[in-house]
Amino acid sequence: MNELLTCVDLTKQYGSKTALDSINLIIPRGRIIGLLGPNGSGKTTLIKLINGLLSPTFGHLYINGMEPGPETKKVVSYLPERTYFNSWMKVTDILNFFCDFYADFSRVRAEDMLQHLGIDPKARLSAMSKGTKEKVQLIMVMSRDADLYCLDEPIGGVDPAARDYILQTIISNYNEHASVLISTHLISDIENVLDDVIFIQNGHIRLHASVDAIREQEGKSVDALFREVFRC
Amino acid sequence: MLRKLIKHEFKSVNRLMIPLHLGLIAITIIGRFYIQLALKQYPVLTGDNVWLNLANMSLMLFYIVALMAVGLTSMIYLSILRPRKNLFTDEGYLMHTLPVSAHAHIWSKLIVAAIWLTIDTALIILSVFTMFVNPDFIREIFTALPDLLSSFRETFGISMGTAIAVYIPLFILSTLASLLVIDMSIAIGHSFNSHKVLSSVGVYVGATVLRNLLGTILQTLAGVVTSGDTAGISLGTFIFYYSNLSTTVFWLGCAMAALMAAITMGVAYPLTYYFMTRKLNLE
Repeated sequence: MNELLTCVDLTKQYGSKTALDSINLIIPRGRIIGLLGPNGSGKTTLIKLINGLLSPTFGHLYINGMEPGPETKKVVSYLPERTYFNSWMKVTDILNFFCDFYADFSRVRAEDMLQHLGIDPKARLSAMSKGTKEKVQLIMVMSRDADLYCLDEPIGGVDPAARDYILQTIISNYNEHASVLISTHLISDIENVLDDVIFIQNGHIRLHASVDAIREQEGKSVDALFREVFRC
Repeated sequence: MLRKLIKHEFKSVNRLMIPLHLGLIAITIIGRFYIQLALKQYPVLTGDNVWLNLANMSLMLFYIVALMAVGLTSMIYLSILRPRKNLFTDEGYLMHTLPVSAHAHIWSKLIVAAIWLTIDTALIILSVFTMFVNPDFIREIFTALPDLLSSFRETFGISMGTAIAVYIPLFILSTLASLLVIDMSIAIGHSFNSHKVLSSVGVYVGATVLRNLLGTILQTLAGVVTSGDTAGISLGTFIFYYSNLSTTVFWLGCAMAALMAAITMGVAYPLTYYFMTRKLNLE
């Protein structure tokens, strides 16, 4: 089954506000997809729905043919746009936590990445900068052998050098069975690693195409096309 | 997975609960030393001096306030702050993306909170006992024990051992029911798009009013039974008519408490589960 994620008429409303409006979307395996759109366009809502943190108002969402639940959470690795660890935790506590709950978590890979980025496993999160905390969180998420990685603003708070390392990590970690969905504003930074892009605006999908197709048909970069489509 | 959740829940909760209760033990030991040793060794401390008496009263007041603070902190932290923070704020982004069911989340919180609240209650009782008990008191207790046991049997119609054996599971059941009502209120309140805390409080107030109403109805039914009015038509009357009245009162009280807890859990649990799965709204 090549279809990894399927959205059918997926709608999410917050009271009278519609965040996602009848989205129909299929994400196959083996792709790195940029989920791009201006603030409040519905990117984070879509990612939260995939992870079961929100429930759809209407429509359905399937991961490997299943609605979000404990079984899909085994194969989806999620990086939210906020820090979700307790500040009293040490990095080793987090490693133990992920080892306990995720069968696909590779402690060796995580420790290797921590060492590469110079993060002491014995350090407490409370003693770390915001950027370092984000790096720790991303390392944990990318150290899983998941089918789908959902990364919400993964590089927003880290320095350019670490950004390169993180993007390299994303590319090297995923395989033909997995896909990576990245939501970000920093399009130019990630453009080179993307296979596909999804432009989302006001809860509607404006464009779902491969990066190569955009370059060939539009004759411009994704960043340039984004600025054109979403010009204020 | 439930076992793992409980393990990590204990790890988090123990960070507050252990120092808090170590503090309680320390205050108890110091207080015991002061009351049983210092005051007895130096009777001048309990003399007619108004300032010394005032100081002793202040120390006693401090002890009572400390006991209340430990009890209240444990209750508020375990029943409200911890589940809310862990499941419905930023930490919820991690907890709700773990491959575990909502049942496991609910039970892990309930089990750890119930265990710590039981320890808390036991330690507070033990603290009061430790503070004031002395050899004379223990001697008197042992002397009076046969009378105490027989009078208990006369009053309630059952042995004290049976009463304790029945009361402990009832205490645990009632604690679980009370915790579940709070969990349910938080889960429902946090499904709203705004004013989540206020909504949770509102749901809790509503649930408490309904529980009190149910309690009143059950007590009224129990009253019909225990009034001795054999013309009463309730089923309870029929069952307990031929039994000893004091035994009836005891068992009926237990049955009503158990029924109350069972109804509460029967309503609160599915609602908590439903709102944590179908209406989860982490914004």
